[in-house]
Amino acid sequence: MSISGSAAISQPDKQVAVTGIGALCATGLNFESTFAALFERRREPAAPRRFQLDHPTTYPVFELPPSFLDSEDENQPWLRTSRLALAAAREALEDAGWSDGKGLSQLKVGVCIGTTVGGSMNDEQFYRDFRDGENPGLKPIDRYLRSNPAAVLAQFFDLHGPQLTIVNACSSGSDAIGIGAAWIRSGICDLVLVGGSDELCRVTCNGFISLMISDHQPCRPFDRHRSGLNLGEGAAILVLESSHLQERCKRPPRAFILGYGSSCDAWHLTAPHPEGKGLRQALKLALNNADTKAEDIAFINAHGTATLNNDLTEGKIIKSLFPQTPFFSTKGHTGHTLGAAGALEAAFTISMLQTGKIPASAGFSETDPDIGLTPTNCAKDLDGRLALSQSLAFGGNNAALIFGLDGAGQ
Amino acid sequence: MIPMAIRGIGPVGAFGAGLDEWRATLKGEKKVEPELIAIETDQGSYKLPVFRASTSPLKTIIKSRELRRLDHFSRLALLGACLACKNSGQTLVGERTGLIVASAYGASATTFSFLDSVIKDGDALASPTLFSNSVHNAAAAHIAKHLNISGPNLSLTQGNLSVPMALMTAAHWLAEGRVDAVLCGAVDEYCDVLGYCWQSYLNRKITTTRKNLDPDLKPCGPGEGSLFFWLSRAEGASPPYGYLEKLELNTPEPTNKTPSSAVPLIYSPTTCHDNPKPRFGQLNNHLQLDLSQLCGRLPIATAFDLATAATMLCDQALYTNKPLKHPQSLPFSGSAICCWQPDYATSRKPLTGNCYWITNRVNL
Repeated sequence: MSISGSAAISQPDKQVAVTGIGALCATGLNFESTFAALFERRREPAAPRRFQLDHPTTYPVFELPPSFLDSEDENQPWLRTSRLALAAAREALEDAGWSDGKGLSQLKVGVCIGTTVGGSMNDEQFYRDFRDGENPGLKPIDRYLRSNPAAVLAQFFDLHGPQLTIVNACSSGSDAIGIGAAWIRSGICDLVLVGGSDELCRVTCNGFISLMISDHQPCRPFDRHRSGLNLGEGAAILVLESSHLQERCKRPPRAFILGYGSSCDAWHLTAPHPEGKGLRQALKLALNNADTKAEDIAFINAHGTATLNNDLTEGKIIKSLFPQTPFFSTKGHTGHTLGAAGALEAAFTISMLQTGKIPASAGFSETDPDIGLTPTNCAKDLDGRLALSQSLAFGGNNAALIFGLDGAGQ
Repeated sequence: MIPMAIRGIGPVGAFGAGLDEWRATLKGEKKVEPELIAIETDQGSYKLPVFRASTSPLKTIIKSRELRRLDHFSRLALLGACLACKNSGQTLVGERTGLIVASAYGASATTFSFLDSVIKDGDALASPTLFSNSVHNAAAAHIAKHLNISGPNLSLTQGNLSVPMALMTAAHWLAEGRVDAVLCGAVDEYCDVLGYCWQSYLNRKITTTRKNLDPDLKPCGPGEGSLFFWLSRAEGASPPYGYLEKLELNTPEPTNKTPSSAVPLIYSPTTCHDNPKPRFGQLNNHLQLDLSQLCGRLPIATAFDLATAATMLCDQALYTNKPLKHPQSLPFSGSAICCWQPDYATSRKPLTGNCYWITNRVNL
């Protein structure tokens, strides 16, 4: 793939370093506070503040603190999802030593972002006016058309490489990281902004409630009495760099992306394969890609949505392939942030590897005998060098990412 | 990017379904008449020509019972995918086959139908079936299930760049050895909101550019459809539709790397904003084909351009309607066809675009 107008010459590169992280969600407005909250066992899902739902029961969500992005007027240039991605990207670039993206326009820089809401035209007020024959103005349409998350980041930072917005539902963030890493490996990019972003909105809240998989209490991933998910919102962006760029910048990376596997159950639109056929395949591919074995994985940041089906399937596969490996879900702290989830969890996984600590699985209290495996019930120290973050998605998609503190061959 | 062999093509549009129908349309043997749909805007009533596609042939491939919960968007995609598989004659190996579905707008009609259920019946009675089908990757899930494709599965949305990004991803998967084949396609559908927006944007454009309107500008209408390719590495038996040899993103002009000045060029406008004539003087030296009168303008039009180039190479004939007034067939013995997609969405100077080379042998 040739991309004209770039000064740097990329060469195929096996090493994909993660040099920066930015994230925000209900527990914090930057990555440091978001990550710290995982160990404070603090979680406060509540009824949504930015919009109202009309259900007999209140379904709590993990919404961003009101101090951030609360000027929700119609003059905002981009949808909230893209503004969340932008906030996370700025922090990630700062973390990687590329403040405000200075110098990036001279390099081959790509953007690969996962989302669900950020790719949909679902402005409810516009549609209500249209239905009522009121000939609504096109402002909401203009905003939707210019709010593609990858395009917004590319435009904002003046990046000239490939841009891709992935809409693989709940595995979008993980897939975006895996695909962005391939751009570095193939040499078409020196640096890629990867991750995911999603905002809470009435459409998705009503949709998940209609599927009867939302809990009216704080969610309980992997717990015997779990009864559904809580939606959340947020964004996480990682800066991926080639080893060539690493040599030039001489900045130590946070971690390396060693493996990525993805698959589809080809089974059902909304339910995972009962035996986890697709997840098993994705994990096998990720382990092969990383040239490692299941026993070498120090911990698993599971998808763990707290729905009956997801946790049962995921638990069965963890028990089968990683019977001794500590695992947990962080969705008890963040809610299910959909297209951002895989990226947020990848960011947490990297930081846990770096700090040598994993948290308790928030919301868990009693082992489900049908799963027969217990997630972490308290924070633990560990000294592993490899970790796994996995995502399962609507449509039967599965994605697995393996991160390591050492690069390939080190 | 590695060259990819094009082994199967499955087009669906206002012209019908399947490569034979598309070929007949290109040759001018089959007429395509858009449907005139009444649109009310604040500037009056209009009849918008819309190139709508039927998915009825799907019933001859898949039992109606299995289709009952699929919306129009998923049916468009599934039909294109099934036709590409059949056209390829290849044996599908589930785990070693990848699936990519690109769309600029996704299942927008279903999203609005879901909103209808909320607005009409209240939040508590929102339709779970409509919600499920409104999710962007529902079409990919349906295709994967019906064709048993359990390899990597990707849905993406990148406006007019959706098709090149899908192709680029397919090339990466093949190059990395993740898969041996990729069913890679694109789909977009028409809905009432799109028609309203289209006409409103057209009104805005006419109001602001009336004095400079191109006299050749025909009334343009939106289209819908899907187009899937069966792609593999450039190994083994020669593929019937040649190779996607090169994909250049953000390149200033396709002529810069033209192997031969006589290479035909295909360029289709994708939105109501696009100029039907590319703005580069040099391009006027090439034979051009504008497909928007055959399948409407749609953001995934590039997929139809590529399929047309591959078909022309296969047939050794050029199907052209520009500068000729009507589609015609001309003899062609070349070995490469260029498709060009200008990027009017960004304000880069010089104007850039994406360039695709379809060839009948690798490394021309």
